[in-house]
Amino acid sequence: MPTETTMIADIQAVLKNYTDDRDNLIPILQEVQEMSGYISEESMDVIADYLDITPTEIYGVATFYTQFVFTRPGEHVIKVCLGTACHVKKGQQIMGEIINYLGIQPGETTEDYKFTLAAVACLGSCALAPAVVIDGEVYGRQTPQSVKKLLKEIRES
Amino acid sequence: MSGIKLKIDGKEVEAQAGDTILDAAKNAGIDIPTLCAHPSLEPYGACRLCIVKVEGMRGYPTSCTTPVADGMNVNTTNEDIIQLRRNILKLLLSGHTSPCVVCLHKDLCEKYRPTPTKAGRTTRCGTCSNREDCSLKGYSDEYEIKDLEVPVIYNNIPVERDDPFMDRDYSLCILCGRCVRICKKLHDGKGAIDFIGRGKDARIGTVFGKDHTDTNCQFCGACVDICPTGALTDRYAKWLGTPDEVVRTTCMLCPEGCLIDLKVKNGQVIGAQATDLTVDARVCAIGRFVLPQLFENPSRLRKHMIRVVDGDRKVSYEETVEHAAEKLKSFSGEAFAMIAHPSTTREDIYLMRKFTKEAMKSDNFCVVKIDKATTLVDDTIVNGIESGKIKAAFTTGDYLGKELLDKLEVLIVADMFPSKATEQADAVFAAGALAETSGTFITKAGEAREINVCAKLPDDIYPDWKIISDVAAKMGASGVAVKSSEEITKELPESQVAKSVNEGSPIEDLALLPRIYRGHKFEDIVCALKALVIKEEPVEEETRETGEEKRFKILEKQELVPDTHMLKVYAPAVAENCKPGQFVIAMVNEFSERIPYTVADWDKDEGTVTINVLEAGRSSREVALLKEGDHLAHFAGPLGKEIDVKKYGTVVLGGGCYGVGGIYPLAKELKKAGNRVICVIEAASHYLLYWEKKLKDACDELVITTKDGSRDIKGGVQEGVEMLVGRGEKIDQSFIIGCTFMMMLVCEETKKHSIPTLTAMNPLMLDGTGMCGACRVTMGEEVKFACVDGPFLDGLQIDWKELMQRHSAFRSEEIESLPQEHSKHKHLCRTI
Repeated sequence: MPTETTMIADIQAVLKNYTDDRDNLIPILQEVQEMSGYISEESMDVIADYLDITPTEIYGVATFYTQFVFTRPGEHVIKVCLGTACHVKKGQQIMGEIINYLGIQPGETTEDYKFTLAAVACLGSCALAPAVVIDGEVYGRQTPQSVKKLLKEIRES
Repeated sequence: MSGIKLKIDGKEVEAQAGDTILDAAKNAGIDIPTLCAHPSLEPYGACRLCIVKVEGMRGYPTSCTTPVADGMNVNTTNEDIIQLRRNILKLLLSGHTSPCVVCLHKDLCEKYRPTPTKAGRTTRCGTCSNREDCSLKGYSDEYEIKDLEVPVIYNNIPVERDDPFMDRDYSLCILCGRCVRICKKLHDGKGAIDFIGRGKDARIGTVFGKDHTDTNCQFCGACVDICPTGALTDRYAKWLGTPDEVVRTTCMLCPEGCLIDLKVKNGQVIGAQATDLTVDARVCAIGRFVLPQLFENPSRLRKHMIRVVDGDRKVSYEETVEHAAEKLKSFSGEAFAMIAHPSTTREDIYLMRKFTKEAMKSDNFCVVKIDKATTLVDDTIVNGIESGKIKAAFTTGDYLGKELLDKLEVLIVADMFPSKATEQADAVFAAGALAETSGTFITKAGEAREINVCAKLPDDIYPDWKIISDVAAKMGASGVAVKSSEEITKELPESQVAKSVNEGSPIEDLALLPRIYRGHKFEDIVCALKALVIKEEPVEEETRETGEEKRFKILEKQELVPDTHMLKVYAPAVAENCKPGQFVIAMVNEFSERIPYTVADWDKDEGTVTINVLEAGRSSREVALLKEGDHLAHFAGPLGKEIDVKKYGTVVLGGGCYGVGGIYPLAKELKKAGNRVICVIEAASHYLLYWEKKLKDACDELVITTKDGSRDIKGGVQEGVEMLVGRGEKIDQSFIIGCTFMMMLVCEETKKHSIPTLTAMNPLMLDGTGMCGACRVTMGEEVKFACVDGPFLDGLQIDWKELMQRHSAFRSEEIESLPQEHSKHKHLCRTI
């Protein structure tokens, strides 16, 4: 992970691409998140300074959209589908196994910043239910055993 | 400019282009209900309450956002609109505590419980500080909302108490956005608060939920003043009720000299607000929140004192004047100095200067200079005292260091607050000042502003000018004596425009807030201010446990439901002897009040006693703030008589609030004795019910009642009893535990059916052993002591009205004693 100072420098580099018009807030937030994986308290202060608005206002805007996250995500993001098809195919058991294995709840990140766990409604891969997406790749027809094996492999790689 | 003609409710109305329908209606005297709209804010259209019907327009537009047009025909009150508004109010009430609107007993409640219970957060009508002044309640009553068909939700957001002045209970927030908008408007578009999240999770907050002291909040108080509900409140003023009058005066606490409106009730200042919600009318945190707390401050000097050989003596004003004059007599000329504070009227300063010159024949007069939190006395005076040339001084505050004070032979002080100077003085006048006096004040900008008398001074206490004048008269300097402050105003020379010294204003910069008045730091008078001016880390409290000492340790603590706290206390001797129906008296620390609590459970083997505490004032708040592992200073019991556990037949146990826990041991024991036990419990709303399963397991039947009708029977225990009687249940005995009001209501019901009723009396109690008599209640012809004859007494014979009167006897003292601290720095505020 970059240190705080380099992060702020990176954000300032991003800001160079935009005028200080407050209309640019959302594109800036998107680019910062793209770069750092999340929007930190410090980055919000830097953006607020640049656009001459308060960090609270930025937070208000950013929390309106589910696309923005405010905590540092893990190296690998696991999305477990709990939509209708996956629900029927016992997606909850897959989730339970992952919760058990990683020791975190949906929405949380492991202490070593290796994994972030998220529950999602439908991935559009119903034919592969129950499905799990890890770092953008779909793993279909999971069982508690197979998903545990998968995570073990990722952790050890 | 040509007027626009339209029709509202059949009335021809003229309006200007750009007016909204709401504006036009208001000008025509037609009332349209609004929540999010406010005269100081731009139209917003969030709450939808102001909907109207406009002929030819689709649907129901909001009148606050719809501009007028020529020939418009507007209807503001047809049947459909009324019904829609009702639905809007019901939806708002679904996420806001509503018993104050829909409860069956609200009229009686308002009669018998005129002041609210001072809980930490508002979970029901009885705990809302704002119920006299709530727009939501006002409209709901007006639109006759009697029942909510929508589910009742309690958001359960903890109250924010991180700053020194405001309580923010967002569980009461209706998201009208007034606070967010006024904050942006008054602070150049840079609000400290905003909408966070969206949909059902949306709420008002700060970036990452930071404390307000860590944001750009300037504590101007506008959000509190504009909130239409009880969500945002002034922690000091919230329980003091609505003012009788609002008096405009000038705040003298810094050279800005802002105009300010003081709220006055019974001659006492209970709050302050800016004169308007505009940028120009803003005031700083000190003016808005600290100034009103100075007058009725617990540390305030209220007695005049003179020093005699064997110490200090409290004396009358007359005697103090005499003593001061006598002492000063022999120090005429350059041996005398007078020192005043700049937050003083021009009249008073003029008179003090004249007193120094004419009565004392001295030139040594100075108004101290203020540098942040220190006061600077003129060098000539400091040198004079140091060198022994100046031997006597008359000061209006705490301006001189200990060494200088020791050098003085005579010291006279007129002040509002005690200090090292008042301790050493030969005579101390308890003085009236600021909003207790009249005159003029020259602002930084050179404008002379009026100071008006807002607060009534107690008997025998007088403002500064009168003290000076009377001492002068006593010394024979009749030329200095005056009869009124206005008399001085006439004498005053033309005012000179003062030069502003510092740039910037405390209204925009917390670092420039005035810090000191008459040598007293504001944070020492209003200790909660420490959170703002001293950003220190909270000190970890020492643990009181010594070795094996485990007595009265809190082994388990849980907030069962909002404002109701369960504490399991290690007290083996109490647990060993506990019987159903008894109570204990607990004290948090050695300075706390002794409060009786009904025992909710006990375990002889564990040596523990469980009590359920309802937050209702200072002492129970102290209990509520305790954590697992803390110790109670005192836990005496079991006290009172146990109930007679025998076979009655069918027994009804009624419990409300803490009484829900209180009836649990009774249920267990009475069931064991072979009774058919029916428990009837009540809560204001479904989210305040607790121990349901525990009670269900302990009795034969559990009847649940809620005041807002959100669970089972709508009403309280008496409606539960009514239902039981109605279905043919023959009740042989009842035991009721709850607040006085609830027990009174239940007894009315049981009396009708001649059901023997024992009620657990909870009057004010001190020792709990029958010595003090504070807990006496009238039962029939007899006087009983609840602590030794009770707690269970015959409810059908109790004089309930007398008891309620006795309960409210110390209402004002209770409010005064409420802790003003904020969550983090409470250790700094032990004194109040």
